[in-house]
Amino acid sequence: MTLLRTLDLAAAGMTAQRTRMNVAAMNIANKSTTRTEEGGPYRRRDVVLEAVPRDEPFGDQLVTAMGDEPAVGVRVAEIAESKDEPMLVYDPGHPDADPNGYVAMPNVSGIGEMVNLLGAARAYEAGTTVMQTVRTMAEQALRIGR
Amino acid sequence: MRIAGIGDTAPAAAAIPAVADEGTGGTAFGDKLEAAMADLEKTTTEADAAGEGLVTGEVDLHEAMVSIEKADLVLRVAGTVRNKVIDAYQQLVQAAGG
Amino acid sequence: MSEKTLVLNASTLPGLDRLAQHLGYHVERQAVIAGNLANLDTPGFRARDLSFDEVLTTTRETKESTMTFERTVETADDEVPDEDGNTVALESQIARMDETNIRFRAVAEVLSRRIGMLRYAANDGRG
Repeated sequence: MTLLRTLDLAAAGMTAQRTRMNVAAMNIANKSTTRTEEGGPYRRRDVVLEAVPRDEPFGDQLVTAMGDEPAVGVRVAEIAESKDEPMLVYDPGHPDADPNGYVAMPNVSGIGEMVNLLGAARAYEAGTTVMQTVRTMAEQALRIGR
Repeated sequence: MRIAGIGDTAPAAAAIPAVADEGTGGTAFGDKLEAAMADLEKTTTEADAAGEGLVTGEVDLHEAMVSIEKADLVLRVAGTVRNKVIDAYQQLVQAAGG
Repeated sequence: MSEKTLVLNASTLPGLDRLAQHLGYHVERQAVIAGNLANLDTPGFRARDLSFDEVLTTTRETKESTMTFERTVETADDEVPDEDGNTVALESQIARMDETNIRFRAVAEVLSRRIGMLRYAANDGRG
């Protein structure tokens, strides 16, 4: 049923955004981590999102110009480790400073991650609005003829 | 979903040609009753299918509601027509002194 | 036999069907909007919208007319693509969602009123 699919779409979006929020939080938490198990400083994680066309068709009369389904979902394709080079910060007193006094720091921008976090929160919120609307429409449909 | 039948209308329907002879336009009753019954069969079947479809998730909520309301409306019409036909039959019987 | 009972027949029920099709359109449009919002941050995603058309086709031989309800999905960018190529704007989608909700409600009301009137007629004026 279409209303239920709409709920699924909203949920998929919210799940993806929650992952973004978690990853942003993790990046921020590890902003100054210079030692990791793999060796070297923490590498920033980036969430890669991709669109997921629904598998069930809408209806036989619907014409799709894009060649896929009308209502498109989303998922996290991967949580990628950033390939960026670490930032070299001059801090000779740091225990992990190299002979020249530079420390390899994670390439994490506090501001950048906050922007991601807020953007994800906003999009998550939009999902809750969709769910509320679906609920309202279902209630209205149930009152038809009553 | 089972919608209770509206009863046996055969005796009343059989009396209709006689009522027509009385010049009250009774064959119209017969036609109307038949039409109502055909509509009723159709809409009841659709409402049943809609109810099924709602459960399996193939049918949208509003579609199912409209199907059910249509069946309800036609059922009421059929009931009203049935009542009219029976009234006419009873009048006929009385007029015939029975 | 009162004619008002028989206002309910094959010719009035399609009116209800048509309203139901409009309801279906608004429900489907919400799904498309939900898809846009789910892809608010997906790189390269272009926003979409659902439009409808009521097309009257008449067969030449039989002179019969049928009305078909068609829905079409199209790309409908909210804004110029951002640096990721995404064209979905949150405010536009929410506004469209609210509008669709209101229209759905309006059609559902009209449908309910019409059913109520037909019910009155079907009961031959007795409730």
